[in-house]
Amino acid sequence: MYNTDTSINPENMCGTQQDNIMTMKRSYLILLLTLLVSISACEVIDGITGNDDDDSAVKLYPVLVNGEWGYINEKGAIVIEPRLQIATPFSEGYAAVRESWSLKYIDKNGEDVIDKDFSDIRPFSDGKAAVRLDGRWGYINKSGNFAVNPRFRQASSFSDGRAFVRSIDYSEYLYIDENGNEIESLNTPDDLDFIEENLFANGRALVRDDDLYGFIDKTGNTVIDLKYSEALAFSDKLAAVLVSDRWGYIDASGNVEVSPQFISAGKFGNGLAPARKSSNQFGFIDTNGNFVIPEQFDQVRPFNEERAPVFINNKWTFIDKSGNQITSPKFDEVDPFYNGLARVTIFVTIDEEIEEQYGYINKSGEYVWYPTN
Amino acid sequence: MLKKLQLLALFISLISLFVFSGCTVVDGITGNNDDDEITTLHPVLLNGKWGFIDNKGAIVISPNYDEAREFSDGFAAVRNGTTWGYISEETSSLTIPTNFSVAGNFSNGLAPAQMPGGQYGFINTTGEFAISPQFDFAAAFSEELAAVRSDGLWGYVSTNGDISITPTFSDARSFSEDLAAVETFEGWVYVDKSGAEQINPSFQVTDAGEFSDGLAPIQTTNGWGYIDKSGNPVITPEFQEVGQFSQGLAYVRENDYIGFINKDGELSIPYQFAEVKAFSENMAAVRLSSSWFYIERDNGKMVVSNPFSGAQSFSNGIAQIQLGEDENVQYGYIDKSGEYVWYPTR
Repeated sequence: MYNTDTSINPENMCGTQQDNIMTMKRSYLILLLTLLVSISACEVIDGITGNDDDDSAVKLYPVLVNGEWGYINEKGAIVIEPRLQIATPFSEGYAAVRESWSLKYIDKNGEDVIDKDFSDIRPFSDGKAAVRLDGRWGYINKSGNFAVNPRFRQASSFSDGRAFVRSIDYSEYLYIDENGNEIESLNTPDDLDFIEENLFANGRALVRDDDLYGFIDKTGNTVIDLKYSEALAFSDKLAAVLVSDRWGYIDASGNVEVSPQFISAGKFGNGLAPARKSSNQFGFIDTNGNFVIPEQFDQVRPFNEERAPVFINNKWTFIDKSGNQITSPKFDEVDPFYNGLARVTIFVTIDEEIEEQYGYINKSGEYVWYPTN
Repeated sequence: MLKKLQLLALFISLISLFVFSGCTVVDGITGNNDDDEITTLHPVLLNGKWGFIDNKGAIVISPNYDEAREFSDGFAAVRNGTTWGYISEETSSLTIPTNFSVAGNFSNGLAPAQMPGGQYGFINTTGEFAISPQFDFAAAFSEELAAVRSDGLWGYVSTNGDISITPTFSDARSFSEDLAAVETFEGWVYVDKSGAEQINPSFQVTDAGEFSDGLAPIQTTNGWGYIDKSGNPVITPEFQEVGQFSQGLAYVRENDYIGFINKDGELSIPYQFAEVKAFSENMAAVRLSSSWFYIERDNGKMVVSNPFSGAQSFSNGIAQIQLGEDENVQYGYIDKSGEYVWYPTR
């Protein structure tokens, strides 16, 4: 999910992020993605969530206080005073922020680490960050120097040492390696289609041609033929694929691990995946395809850090892996858990205007930061 | 919207930095101690007049001139009103008065020049005509010969004023690596310093450039490529545009974007630029879309810097850059790390 005109700005903060995880109807997904196209900063959160085993992660979280962003620690204490116009989550030790009119990266002490004249910047992953200069996207390393020259029209984050980009003349989409060299598509179609889920995961990337989905490996080889009418990217070594109107799961070699039987299916996380088989409501299955949390939710998102968002009576909350709600359903929006906390959003009507207030809860469902604006 | 805001931010930072430009210069000096020995002068514009700084950013010649060019062969042409003279690098003063309506670059101790209403001749370093005004047009000397035009045809004059190669060509380039491209009725060919034809390719050449690193750009109906000194098209003519080889690389344009090839014709820096200048001192100025930056020769990577509205090649460790457009353009100098040696002024 990326586009050329993303920029980090307050309207695009992650409070409205939806994950494209449920498969539902493709058209719905595409609609959702269209809505998300302007949310570049948020995309990165998805990339980050795989890193929760990283003890060195900076555990700071953006908060909005009287219209300015600062950061709190996991206990809810302000660590970086609110002074920023934009603040995004830390990744690999740096956070992309805007202060005054300057887009830049700060460290955990709030000090500037990269402050150049870029017109747009994205968070770091794999030691590199996409930045835009003079209308072109490239990648800088953590010293702020170019690792890949700005020579693309669009550029996604690096993952598994690969990034998905659009060529300077708009003619093609391609994967590049860490030196910016094109990964030749070996036995895939010459021109890859644009694809929403373009990150490598488990050494595989989803590709599409003529509306059929398959998977390539990091050398550009097609390892799973383009034969699925719909598919999701790999997670937890499994990928959801649609076969004859039913979803199942395959492994990285394309072997069927869970036979196609679901009306809807989502990505695995913490050994569980959202699915629905016989009703209009969602539950969670294990890697054998058995429901361990029964179908009962109007909407759900995948597990991350042992918690999954669920939508009940028009409000969100989270469940644990046993299916217990950690709070009553009371949030209007939620972001996935990230380094132990999840950002929650409530809509407050003030003078007939809806104001979004952002707070954080811990894994027990307790407010660490009560919603503020 | 963002762009406007950034311009505003740039403007604000310019104002604040302008106040501290003296300090910027001091910073610039500290980074440059690797080439302490070389001191060269470069033109700067201050309060509407041109003067010269050294390559550490210190003013050496006060801004008194309406226009000033870079030094070549120890002299820089400067203009007051409508006439040009020369500043000597050795004395840092105007040693050749502003008597000339045209003043070219010095080379081999001579510069093409023209008095108001006169013809082109060549002056020596005392400002006297060493080769009397007699030409319709004259280029600077290169390898002891200068292309000159008489009665609409081009030939070459030597430094003692003798016509070495009789004007018979409809166009002519400067000598380089002992050869010069000239246009004959049959197309472009290369002649040696006696005027004898040395390279006449078997295919039609519609334009031709100077040799450098043993290769010369030539244009055919299929596009631009390169020939060697035997006249073989060693890099197939197929490009929209090419440049001369410099430091082993030459720019080529294909499908509207420019990359750099090596002398084997292999692409060593991918197609990505809208406009470039040749490599010098391991750096090349490049334009992405509207702004200029610099890349390093060894890896082709861009040096992160402010976007410039114009950029010149590096010389003696610094390069002239521009900020702003048209009547608001400001000229400054940066070092190879992108730091200002002279903050842009106008």
